[in-house]
Amino acid sequence: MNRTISRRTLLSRSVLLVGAAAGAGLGLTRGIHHKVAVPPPSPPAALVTALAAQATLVAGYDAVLSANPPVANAAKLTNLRGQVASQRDALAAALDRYPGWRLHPSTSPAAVDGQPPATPPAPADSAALLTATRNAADALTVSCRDWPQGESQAATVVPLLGSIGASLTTHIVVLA
Amino acid sequence: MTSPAPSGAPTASVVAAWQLPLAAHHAAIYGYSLIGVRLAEDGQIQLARRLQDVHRTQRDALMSQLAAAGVTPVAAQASYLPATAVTDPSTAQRWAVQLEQACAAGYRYVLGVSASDPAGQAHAKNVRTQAITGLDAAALAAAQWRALLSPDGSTEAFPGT
Repeated sequence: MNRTISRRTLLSRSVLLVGAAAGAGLGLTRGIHHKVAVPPPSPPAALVTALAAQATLVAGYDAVLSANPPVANAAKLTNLRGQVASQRDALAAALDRYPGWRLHPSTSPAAVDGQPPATPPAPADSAALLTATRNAADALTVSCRDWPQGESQAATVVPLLGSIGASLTTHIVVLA
Repeated sequence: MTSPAPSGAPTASVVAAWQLPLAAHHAAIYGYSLIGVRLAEDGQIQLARRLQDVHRTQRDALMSQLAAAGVTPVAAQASYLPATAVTDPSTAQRWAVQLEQACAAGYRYVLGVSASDPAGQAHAKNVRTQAITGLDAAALAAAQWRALLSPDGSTEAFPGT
């Protein structure tokens, strides 16, 4: 049997052969890059802790303000609660400058809407609220003072921590 | 262009930053003299005097600090004008709040500058400790005056902003 190959077939097979050879050549000469999921950088622990403390304070204000009979200084406490909530939101916004911090293994996947995962129990009365505020102010002062020099977000975070700490210092006077 | 300071020594940017709270202290010292005249209650007049003394102390400390760093401290102006005329205790208290807020803003600014200061961490801690102390004092003083104007809302969320 006389089997002939058309020019077209010959040409297309040649192109395929050359393509396959080129692909094999590239595969041998170039390294294979695997895309590996890299965990996000570690979030600054001091900022995560500060966020948790503010969230605890907000929960404490909510508990004290919902007490029955109502507290006498509810108007003052409501004002303080609003400020602490603003501070919590500002800290959450600062943490959002660290891409993927919510996905970091040190923070639970349950952390949503600026609420940190594991918050200590909320203060249940005015005295506990005062103590928690004092502790939070002290911690913010230390974090502000010790924040690493030249850290990528330091110019934003250091004044923020100092400012919130100063605010809580004034809250202590109101609560005392 | 400034050359980098040796580790532990204040850099030019941080030294210059202290001029802002110093200028605010100058204004407060001047302001409290006028505020005291417009206040009616003895307790408030005493508060104004006490805070004026505090500002004098802080001013002197900052001037010494700047002079020691070889920088000429910013001088006080001949006079300072409040945003609104001070005619009674209420307007006097408002000006006191503004003067303290300006001091808080000065110290907050120092904190921001210190964050990017290339001098060592130990120096940064000293700068920040001093700035935090000044910021706290100004926030507390502002809250004292604000309490007279608005008893239920004497504090603010972000002093110095």
